[in-house]
Amino acid sequence: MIDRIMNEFSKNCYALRGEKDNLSTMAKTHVWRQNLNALWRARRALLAWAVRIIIIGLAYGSLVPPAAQVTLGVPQSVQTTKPQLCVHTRLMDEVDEWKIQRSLQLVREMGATHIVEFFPWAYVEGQRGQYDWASVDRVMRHAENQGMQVIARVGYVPAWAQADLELTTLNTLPPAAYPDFAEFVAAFAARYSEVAHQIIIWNEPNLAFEWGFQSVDPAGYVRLLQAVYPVAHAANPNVQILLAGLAPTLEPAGSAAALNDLTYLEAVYAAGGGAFFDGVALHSYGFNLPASDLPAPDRLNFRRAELLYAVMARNGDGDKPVYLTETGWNDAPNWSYAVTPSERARYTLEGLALAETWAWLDQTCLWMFRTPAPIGSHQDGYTMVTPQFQLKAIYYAVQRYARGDTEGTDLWLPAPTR
Amino acid sequence: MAARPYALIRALAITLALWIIGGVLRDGFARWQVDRTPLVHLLPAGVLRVGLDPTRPPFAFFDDIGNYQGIEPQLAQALGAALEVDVQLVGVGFDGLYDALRSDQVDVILAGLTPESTYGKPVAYTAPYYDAGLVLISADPRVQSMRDLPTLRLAVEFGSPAEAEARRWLQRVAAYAILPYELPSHTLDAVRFGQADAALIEALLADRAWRNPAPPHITHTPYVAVTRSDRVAVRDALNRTLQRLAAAGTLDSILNDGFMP
Repeated sequence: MIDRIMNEFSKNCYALRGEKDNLSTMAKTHVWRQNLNALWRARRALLAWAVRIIIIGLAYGSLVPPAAQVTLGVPQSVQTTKPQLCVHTRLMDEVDEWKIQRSLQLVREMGATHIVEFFPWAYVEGQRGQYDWASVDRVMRHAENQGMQVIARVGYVPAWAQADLELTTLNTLPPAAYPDFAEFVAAFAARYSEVAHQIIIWNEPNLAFEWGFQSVDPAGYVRLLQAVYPVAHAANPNVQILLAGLAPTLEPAGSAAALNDLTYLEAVYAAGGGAFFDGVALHSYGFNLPASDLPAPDRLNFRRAELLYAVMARNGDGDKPVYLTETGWNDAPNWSYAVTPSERARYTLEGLALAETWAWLDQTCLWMFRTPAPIGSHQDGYTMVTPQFQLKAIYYAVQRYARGDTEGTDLWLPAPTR
Repeated sequence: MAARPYALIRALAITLALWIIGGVLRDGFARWQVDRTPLVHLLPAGVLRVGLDPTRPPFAFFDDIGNYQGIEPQLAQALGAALEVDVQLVGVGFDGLYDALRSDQVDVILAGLTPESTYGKPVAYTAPYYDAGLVLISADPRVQSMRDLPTLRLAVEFGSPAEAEARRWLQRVAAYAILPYELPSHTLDAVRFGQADAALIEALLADRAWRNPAPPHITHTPYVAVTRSDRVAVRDALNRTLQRLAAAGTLDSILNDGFMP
């Protein structure tokens, strides 16, 4: 049928082309009308072919596996002997929802009651005043379903709030945009009041990099807190606004890169910042020293948290909640601040046990659980689970700690001898 | 009259062809011009600003008096010398490397970065200058891949990527014994003392003790230099120079110096 129509159509076209010089306009119109008539007569055949093409298309489409359907399932609760155990996740960059769910299942099975998660402002408010909470919602509903609380960290400036896109980074927040950021935090605090009781404002503002490559400015950060605090509390009176964790560093005043975290914290209090946060997030890493290494102002180690708390206490904030939101050891093979995987397991367990004795500390959060993809640097040495969900030795060690299993078994062979 | 549409189509086709050919020639000429332009004219600061993460010996670290040392500073200087441009080394924390490039504080990053698809358009990568993947060490020259391991004993460092890779391969080939040791050096000792038939270890660690003959790679982790994608000419110039340094043996010499105990 189709062949016959096409022959007829070709014949008409050939006639039109071959006799183009001799045909009158009326004759050409006649030929085109014949073609249209031929197509009309062929409508059933064309329809049949269209149906075939659609069927073939659907069959081909069915070869591509559909996206995994994720259901929440029965609400869970965390079984643990260490309710202060917490872990920093990186779920917001995860594309597949099932990976968010699987990550949080593994966190629960490890025995952590809280997660810290970074929620980039730029992901939510891509257009000024228009919030798209979808990506935050899916993290929150899975965390809630697994029986966990979320300590939220917020930051990352949307393009519309940046002053000059060519010269700034995602961490550059112009003071003129502080009220916009405050509105976002308030909306966040109101929306997630059931699952996220603490919100950390910004991250490591004592690093020039985290402060948009501007001069590190504790008073400037206090002005940011001052803008956020009343607006967030008006939206959710129960929310705890947390001072950002400071990067452990010994950089002196005047350094272009950073400012000593102890100095910075003192400067925050000196600028009147204590009135604008309800609690404090701390960062203290063990680097390549054991957890028991003694604290000292000129030393970066796990127990630097004690020095930071001492600054709080000196400034009358000793009763405020404290969350160690980033801590841990790294076992990357070529980083000067890394340890071996066996040392990592040993030091981490010692650190967790030591933190249990700090009555002023609410949660101890290990950095970090898993990343959606390999980072390709020493940061991969901080993870407890690979992007492919392979559990590392540190995961099992922490799980045993959370279960209260103190019985040790040899995890490795003795050193070889001749 | 009827010939007019065909003449019009011919004219359009010729115009389109000329436009395409013109574009190709113009781009080719522009590329040729850029390739001939000395690198110094392509750099905003007039020097090659190289971002380093000086916490990664033997690749980049500070010596006792605060000077940059290691493979990457040496490589940066070699690139600068070959390209006849002064080099300025800029220490940047790992977290800030890409931002330093984006905010135009450096022209290139040499910090053991691997190509990362999620960064997409803003950056361009060179060819690798080092492969930091896992290597298989054995005293037996017949052991060249994981498929040669069944029935043998493989030493790995406890909790390391090598142990994870060894367990992954157990799902693909017949069984072999995995012997976990506390330290990477123990895995090499186990091979030396005959307590293991092979060791799987990060190339960085193997390079110090087992360089000749070069052990076979089981996984690949290519270290590349990173430039801005809007200055591909800089990337291309670095790429050509890296190839020249590799062909002349300079790159191997820098790596050998860096891995010397």
